[in-house]
Amino acid sequence: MDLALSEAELELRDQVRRWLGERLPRSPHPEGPEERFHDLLAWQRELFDGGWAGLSWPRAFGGGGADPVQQLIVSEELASAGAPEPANVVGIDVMGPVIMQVGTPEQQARYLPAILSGEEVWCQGFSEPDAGSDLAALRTRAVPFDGGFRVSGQKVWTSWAQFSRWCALLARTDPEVPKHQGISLLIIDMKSPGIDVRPLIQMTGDPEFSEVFLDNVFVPRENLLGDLDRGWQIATTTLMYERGPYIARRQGYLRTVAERLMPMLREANESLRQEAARALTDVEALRFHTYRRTSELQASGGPPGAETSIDKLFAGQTEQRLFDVAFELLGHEIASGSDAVARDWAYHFLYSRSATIYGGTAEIQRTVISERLLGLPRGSP
Amino acid sequence: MKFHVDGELADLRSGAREAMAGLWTVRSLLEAEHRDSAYRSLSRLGWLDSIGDGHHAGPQDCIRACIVAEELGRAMAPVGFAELYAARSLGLASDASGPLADGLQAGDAVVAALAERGGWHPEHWEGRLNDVDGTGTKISCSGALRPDLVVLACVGAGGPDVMLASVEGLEPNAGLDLVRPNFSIRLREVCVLKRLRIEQPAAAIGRALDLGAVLAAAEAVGAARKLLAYAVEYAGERQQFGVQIGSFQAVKHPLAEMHARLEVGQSLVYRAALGQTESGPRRELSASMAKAYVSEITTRLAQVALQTFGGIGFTWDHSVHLYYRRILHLREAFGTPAYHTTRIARLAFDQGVRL
Repeated sequence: MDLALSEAELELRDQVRRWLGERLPRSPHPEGPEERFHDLLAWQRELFDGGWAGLSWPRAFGGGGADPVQQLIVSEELASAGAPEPANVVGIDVMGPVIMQVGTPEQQARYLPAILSGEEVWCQGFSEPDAGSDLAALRTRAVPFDGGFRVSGQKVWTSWAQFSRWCALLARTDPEVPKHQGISLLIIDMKSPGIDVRPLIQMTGDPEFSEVFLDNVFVPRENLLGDLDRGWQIATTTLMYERGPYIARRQGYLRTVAERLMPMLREANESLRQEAARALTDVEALRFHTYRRTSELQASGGPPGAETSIDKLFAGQTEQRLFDVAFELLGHEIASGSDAVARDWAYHFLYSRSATIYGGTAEIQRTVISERLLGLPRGSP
Repeated sequence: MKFHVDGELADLRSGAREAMAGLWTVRSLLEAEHRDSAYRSLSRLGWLDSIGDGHHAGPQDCIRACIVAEELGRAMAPVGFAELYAARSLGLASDASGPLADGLQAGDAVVAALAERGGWHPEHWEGRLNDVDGTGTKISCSGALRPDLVVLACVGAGGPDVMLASVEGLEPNAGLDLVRPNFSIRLREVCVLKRLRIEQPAAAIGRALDLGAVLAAAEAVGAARKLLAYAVEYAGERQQFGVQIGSFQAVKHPLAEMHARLEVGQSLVYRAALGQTESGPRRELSASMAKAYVSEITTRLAQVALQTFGGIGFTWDHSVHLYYRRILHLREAFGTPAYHTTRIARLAFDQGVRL
């Protein structure tokens, strides 16, 4: 057992470091959502031109063909350099892999290249007002209609919907069968008539996610992704793909946050220092746990399973614990909003509150862990 | 990078688990004669031997020792493995020619006399020992069940020192861990056989304490895994309100939470094991992080397990309390969470040490 990187891996790390040294934008993030999103998109173009976008994708689809350890190295370097998240994260981490797995050759040729380059941004139409944690209760209907479907319903928490070209949407295609069956995954053209996107303002002040209303939206049959009525299986297995890259980036980001806090803790009182030491320990534990997971994945070659719920649960808690320390330390400035740095801490502190909610709440993760990993009996969910 | 258990390490784990499963039942270990025979079997089969040769041990030796420690913890072995290992690492740190030249033989029944009432680390030691007299007491001395030799680290005339000693008529304490006796040793009663010639004894003691902390954490992970498995099994069987109690979120979620945190802790222990042959403050930081994290999470886990069992877990006849006692014992061994957390703060915040 060891943590040593091979010659080739070290070379890759140096390569991405050099590239970041030259290309990473130094300007602060712009204020407006539109400007901010286009900033992120420009960053994704940079990544694409540098050959770093879709590193994990197979070469056959224009990706880098990187193995899990190589992906981890690049994700860590990007995060510790303070690089922003790629704008098209849904496309690259979630929908790209889904299209590769279950898409037709035509769909693969049509959609994949534009995901990589960032030309076409994707969003995810999964949650609904009455189908959050109980996602399978979704009620958006897709009714067969002349060479395709007519889709009506409402989606919510759809990130970057206002800037997206395509939406991967779960809709009920057979209401007569049990709720986990009869759901299909459709590719919706966001320019279609009948779509109304209404941005929701988050606690942070950002309109990052939206409500999406669909009124009789026509979707051609060739936009069905995978088999009819198999959307639930596709959605649940592929959601796990998103976890690996997300955790790799997140733990790298949390280490940069810890790094900024640590010098300020020298003069802090002993009880805060102790709590900060525990938070830092959690950050390091998350890091080495990520390494262990990556190493297991590299060896097994298999897809990630329910154990990713452990990683997601702990990552969310670690983020909150670390920002709780930040608030204890800087609460006075954060509350006053006295300068740009204080406002930046406020933004990230507030954002951290969502870490145990998005992508499956902490409660849902605990249910998955207890039932699928520990084998405890199912109950009322 | 290959940072998970498989191949040879997985074989070591399953071999250890299988071997120990056949040697004793946990309940039987409440009796001294069964403890003695279990200890003799472990020793005879080589599970207690030092893996690697002390300060020449490499990171892989540490990892292997960690995996054995986990299995010993899981099986509630009647031995202070972390103490035994720390004692041997001190015995072998001597400059005398030949690794065992100072009189320590593989398989010797030794205990490590390290802790004092003030704590496990030399800065907390108030006892003194010189050629004429000794004052103070070593507590929580552990390792072999019936020790022939004591590896004693204490403050001598010239500062922290390490020696081999014998003590007449050692009787075990009625400690919290009923399966693993510990001894108190009054410094005026020890008979020093030999001062170990160690170039920098204070540094060697520091290394041995960190190594012991990591192995104690590994033992605690093993014990906690077994305890969690018991609790999960019980939650899947016990019925109330007409259903298994494990179907209630109030019961299953805390168990899931503990499983998640224990898995993460396991990764931190492996990192620390790899770090114990590094020199300097990174070694200290990795040991303290693993020990602090694991001590806190395993005591929480034991509490959750007790709660899952309800009244039956509070009875003498059920094995839950034996695991709970072991986990509490290991929490204190080689430094409390508070000690290690304070050290993490000093290393990381004041000295800028990073893993």
